[in-house]
Amino acid sequence: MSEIDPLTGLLEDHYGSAAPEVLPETGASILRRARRRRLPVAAAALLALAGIGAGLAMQGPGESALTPRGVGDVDVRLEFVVEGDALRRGGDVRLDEAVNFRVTTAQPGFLCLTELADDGIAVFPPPGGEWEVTAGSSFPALDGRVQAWRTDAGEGERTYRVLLDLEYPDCRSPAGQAEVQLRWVP
Amino acid sequence: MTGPADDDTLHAAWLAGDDAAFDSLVERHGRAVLGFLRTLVGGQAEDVWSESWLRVLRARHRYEPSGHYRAWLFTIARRCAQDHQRGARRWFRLRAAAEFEVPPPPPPNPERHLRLVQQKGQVSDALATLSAQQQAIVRLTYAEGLSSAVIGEILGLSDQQVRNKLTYARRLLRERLQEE
Repeated sequence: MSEIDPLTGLLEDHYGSAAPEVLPETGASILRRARRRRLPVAAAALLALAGIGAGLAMQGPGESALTPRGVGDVDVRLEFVVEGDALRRGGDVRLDEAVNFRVTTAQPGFLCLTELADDGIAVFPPPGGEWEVTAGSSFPALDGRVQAWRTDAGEGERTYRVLLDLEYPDCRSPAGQAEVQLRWVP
Repeated sequence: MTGPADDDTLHAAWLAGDDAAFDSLVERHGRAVLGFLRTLVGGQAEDVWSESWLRVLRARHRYEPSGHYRAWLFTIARRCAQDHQRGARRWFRLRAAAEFEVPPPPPPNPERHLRLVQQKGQVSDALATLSAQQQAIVRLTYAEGLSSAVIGEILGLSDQQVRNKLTYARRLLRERLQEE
């Protein structure tokens, strides 16, 4: 049956007559962005994810969850806190709770926080965004408001990784990294 | 006597160090990828498009020549859009819960709907009433000419699921267009 029905014809005409899209950038500019050179790490930076804000309970699940697993030249430390009463339960996070992050750096740079579930998704900054920090403490924030994170990948143990790049927002040349694990429970 | 290089040849040239080959691939497929992403993430398509090409860069050595280069790009773009939506949804949900109530969307306004139909055309308007996934399937079928099996690979669905969803989307489109 080779006859084209009216709806198929309408749709093919619709897409065929659409005005051509203007590309956001060229292949050359994509390559330029991807080839940012890696600068030598000048000094150590400190990353710390820690408790913030009123009404938050500091989570103390023990050294196993808080043990820094940073690699490379830069001293990295990673901590986190959870809303609610996670402290009493020994560190698990309920799916209706949320995690707050704070990052403290000894140097300015760019941070990228990732939840290593499935093939890994960016937690912060959102796609297309940048998380530029000055030396000292900073928080994931949107429109000037501090944000908390809640997984929607269901229960289970997830690894969170933060990268510090001293120059570039995509964190492809990290000067240091740290990981921490959270267990999400019903 | 020779036409433009095929996608697999361009990709191989790119891997061999020919940057112009990558530029040609972006020029050749970039608009289709952007249009596809527009059905999935709307106004965020440009941002996700850029991120998608960076992922293509990272995954370039894993591509296996198959003659379905655009489908491979669409698959990467779809995953990128999915990550984008998951991330945005989680942050938004928390922000809404913590700080303000999000008002429900206003009910459909028939007069406004009619104006939009007149301005944008019946087909555009009917397509806009479909879900993002339905729009993607319709677009990949009629704009890209891809088979249901290939679309299934791109969207993470079975061949049969794509066929069923396309049938349902077409039925909805017919109904919407007949309502006009």
